[in-house]
Amino acid sequence: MFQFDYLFEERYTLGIIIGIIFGLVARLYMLQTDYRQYPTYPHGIIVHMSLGVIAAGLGSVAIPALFEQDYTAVTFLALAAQQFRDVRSMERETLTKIDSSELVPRGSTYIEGIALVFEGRNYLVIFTSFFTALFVVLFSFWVGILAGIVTIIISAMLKTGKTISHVADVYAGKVNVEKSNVYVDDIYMMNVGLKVNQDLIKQHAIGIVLVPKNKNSAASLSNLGQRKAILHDLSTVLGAYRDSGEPALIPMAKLDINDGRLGILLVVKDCNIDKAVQMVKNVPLLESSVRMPSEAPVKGGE
Amino acid sequence: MKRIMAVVTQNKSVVNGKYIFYTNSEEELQQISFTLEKILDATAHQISDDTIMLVDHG
Repeated sequence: MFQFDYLFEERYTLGIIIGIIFGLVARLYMLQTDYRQYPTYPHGIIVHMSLGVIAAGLGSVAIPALFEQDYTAVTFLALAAQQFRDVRSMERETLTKIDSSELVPRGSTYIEGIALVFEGRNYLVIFTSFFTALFVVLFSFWVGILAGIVTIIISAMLKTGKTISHVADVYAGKVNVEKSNVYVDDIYMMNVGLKVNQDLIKQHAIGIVLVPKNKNSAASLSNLGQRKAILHDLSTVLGAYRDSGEPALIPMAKLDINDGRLGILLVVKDCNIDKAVQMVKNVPLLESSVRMPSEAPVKGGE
Repeated sequence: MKRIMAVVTQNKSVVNGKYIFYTNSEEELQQISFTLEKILDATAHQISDDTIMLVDHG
């Protein structure tokens, strides 16, 4: 018969077990597969859960090592960092390969953003199990559980990044086809030569305009990778009305250079403009597209 | 890299370039451009009322 009392006597073992459990819960919580269907189910999930176990194990084993004054053992955390950098390049490679077969590609900035998130979340798992194990060993089982819950909440807060709604006002624009030129409101999008395609655009295209909230957001909107991410997410949800060999129906995002507004033209299957506007607002703001020109240490001229 | 793949025109004075398709009517202009767009996987752009250019935006 297994003796539970034994576990309570062996603080270290208990700490490691509770740490791993909380690390896993944190990983599972951060591994939500939404409309983007990434990571893919079930094997993508299995890969990341397994890596989550390793991360959780590393985080919680560090505590007994520290308490036993086995300081060299802590250096294996460096090994963990190496391991998770590999996760990042694994995700980057996979997504880059997949991207070439997408009708509306994600773009390298979005891919880099996703890969970065995968690496970062493994560190959050280490963080969760490290603190859970620490509190179990230092205080008691219950304090450890409490610490675990708090760290999961902190991880959840760190997990959610900003979205487009933080940097821009989004509203529906009117698609105008004037002779062969296509505009969204007054932003020039492209020239479409064929009457067939012009008619398709009149029927199926939706136009969206993004107005940047300040100078910093204008920099994010002008980032080409951020624009590709918006187009990719929009066409995932609304369905791109195109096929290979139809270059004229490609989704477009063009900037009004004068005032920084971004016009989006998308030929879609589901012409639900309210859904589209909502969708654009929820597109993640890519970390690498963020610039802070207003923070630059330069003063304006007289 | 953008490349001009073909030019379809009703204007006989357009002579410069490799692949020029002369047409006699607006319908024919549209029809030939449509076919070429599918074959060449290039976008048709109208540069004037009687001329359409097919560009590969690669």
